[in-house]
Amino acid sequence: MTWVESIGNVFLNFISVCGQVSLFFSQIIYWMFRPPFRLKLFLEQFLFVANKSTFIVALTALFSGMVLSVQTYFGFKVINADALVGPTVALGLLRELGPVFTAIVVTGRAGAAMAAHLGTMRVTEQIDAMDVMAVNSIHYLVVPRVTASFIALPLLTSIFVLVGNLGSYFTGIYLLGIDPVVFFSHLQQFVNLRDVAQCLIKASVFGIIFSTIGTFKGYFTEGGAEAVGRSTNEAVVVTLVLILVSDYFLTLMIRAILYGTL
Amino acid sequence: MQIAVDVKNISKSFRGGKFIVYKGVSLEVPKGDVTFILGPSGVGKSVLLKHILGLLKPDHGEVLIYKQPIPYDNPKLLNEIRKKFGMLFQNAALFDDFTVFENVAFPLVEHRRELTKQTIAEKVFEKLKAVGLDPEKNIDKYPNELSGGMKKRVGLARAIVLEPDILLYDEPTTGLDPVTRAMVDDLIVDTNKKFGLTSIVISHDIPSALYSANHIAFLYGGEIVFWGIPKEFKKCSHPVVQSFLQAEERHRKETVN
Repeated sequence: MTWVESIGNVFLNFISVCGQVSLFFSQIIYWMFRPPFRLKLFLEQFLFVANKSTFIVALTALFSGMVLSVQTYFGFKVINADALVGPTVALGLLRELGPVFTAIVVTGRAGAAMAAHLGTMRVTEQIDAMDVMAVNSIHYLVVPRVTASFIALPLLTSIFVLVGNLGSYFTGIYLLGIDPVVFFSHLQQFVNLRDVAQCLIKASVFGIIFSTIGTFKGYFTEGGAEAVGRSTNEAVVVTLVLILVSDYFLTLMIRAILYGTL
Repeated sequence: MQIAVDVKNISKSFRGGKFIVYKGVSLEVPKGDVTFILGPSGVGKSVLLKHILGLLKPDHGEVLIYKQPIPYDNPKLLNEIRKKFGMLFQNAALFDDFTVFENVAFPLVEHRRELTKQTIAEKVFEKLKAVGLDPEKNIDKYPNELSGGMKKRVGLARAIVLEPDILLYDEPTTGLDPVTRAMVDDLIVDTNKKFGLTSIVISHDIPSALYSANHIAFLYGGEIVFWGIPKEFKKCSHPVVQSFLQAEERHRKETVN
């Protein structure tokens, strides 16, 4: 095979996978609005994605906020702008780090678990059994996971931003000696609702991305136990890349729509 | 003789025609009988089962269930047709996260929403008893706490809980010890009689087929090369059928010696 053919194959595979994911996603949307609505399954998944990720998200947020505060302070102090540490960290957390870090943490926990669980169900024919029993497996297994993630991620991101800012506040005030009044007045001056909206929109989109890729990779696992491991691994890697790539385009889109400028 | 499943000259290939599974398979499954579909590994027996269930669509030809073609493009009607089927998977395919009770109750909870919890429990108990499991001792167990034979029984109870017309078995005796194998053979015949079903069994287990089947179909090279009653099967002159029978005979003799 020549190198031109290899590149062509990679490109064709990429297009084919994009098509498969799009079809899968369109089925999720189709079944999302079809009864019966399985509230119990949704709540189980919500508990799994949100509640069980809260501690690890808060812990990551606390240290991210603290280290950002320290780094920003020493950078800004050179140009006598250390009073701007609060809003800089807050904007960084709201616009970028909150949604992205939360998505990364939750992908490692819940996204990988979704791929592994559905992958195991696929290779042991449990998904086939469900379809044979005339219960749509996408409706039963995938829809609750994606809807739960879509709602859970903005909530987790809010916790991340809140705890991150608390970390930034305590480090800034008690360790670095920034005046609390200055800290808050600048926060009010520079942070507005559009930044919060940006944060929540990104988080919702990342929630859909990680759960769709996790369930897609698990749902279409082919082979045995080894294949489940491969699916889980691929789900995490693909999701992380997609989150970072889509973050850039989302930022451009949101700025164009909410801020009216790039 | 009424026909429950009529496979009419279906052909199927994968990977854009590179891998041909069937060139033109026709099979009539009589209502009320146990029909075994035998054949070597990789010949497409499970693919035939997936066609009968409407999980795969043939490239050419059609599959009729009680004279009705499978409505592939109508998910709602397709689901209605699937409710006529029960299926026992090779490894039972029980849901790992569910207890025995939840596994057997699953089709009822999903499709018979009008039933009360008590009626569901009664039906689950009845079916577990019908397949020879003591409900009291087993309903709270998870699949990983069950032996291979018990899993098959629970899988069978789940397959018949909606009282289907047609029961499909995918290699029910593969990988089982001789005692459990004999138990599954009896279970197939008993269940078929007790519930007035039509059973289709995918297998390569010749003794099981000769013991349990009313009819045997032999699939080879993308075609059905034999269809008839077990007595005729033993006399079939097709070389692959003969080599299958001889291998089985040799294995039996070696085991006896």
